[in-house]
Amino acid sequence: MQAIKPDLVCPGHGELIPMDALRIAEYTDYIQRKEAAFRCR
Amino acid sequence: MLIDYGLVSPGHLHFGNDHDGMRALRFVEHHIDQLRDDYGVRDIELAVPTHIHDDHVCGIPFLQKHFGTQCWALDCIAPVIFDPAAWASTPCCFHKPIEVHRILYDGEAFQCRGFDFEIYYAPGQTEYHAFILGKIDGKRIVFGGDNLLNPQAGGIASVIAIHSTVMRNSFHLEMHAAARR
Repeated sequence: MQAIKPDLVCPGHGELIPMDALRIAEYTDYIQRKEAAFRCR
Repeated sequence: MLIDYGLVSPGHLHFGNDHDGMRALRFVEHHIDQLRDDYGVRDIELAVPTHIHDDHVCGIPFLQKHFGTQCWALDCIAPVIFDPAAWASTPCCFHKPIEVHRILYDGEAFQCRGFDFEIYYAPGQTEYHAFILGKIDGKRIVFGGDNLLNPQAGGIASVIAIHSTVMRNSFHLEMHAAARR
């Protein structure tokens, strides 16, 4: 996601989601926190 | 070109175990008339699935039967949709084999009718999942399948893209880092 840098996301269900640097960071941070939770860090 | 062609609405999803009942998964043709009447689309030349799940691919055999549509798929998706019987333990596979005409690889670029696309391996909701990036009208649009969902339906009011994780869908810890990169 960080490499692709989309302007828009078309999800599999639901409406288009506008993206910018902040939202990409939000998305990757969500993954980061999820991974930390799964690995109990 | 269609990216995914599956069920028309969540109402067609099959959540229960009543395989013979009214709620059993059933594909119904949709949007073809609208594409023809409103946009002049006469042919569906290509379908590229974002992931293996039945609600996203179950219409592709219909396209192949009626339009001779080609299916191009990421290398990890192709074997699953081509031979679903061999992946019976993988949740939400569509039971009909789908012919795959071209296998795409992580990071590969391809074109359709002058439009540029790239495909990326992006596991999460299932291991067999891709992001498809289209460069359309000057914008970079990611077709994220079910790895990028707006969770408004889950009670979150703001419009955000979240990365989905479904433990039953062959979950691996490495999925997180792969989707973030």
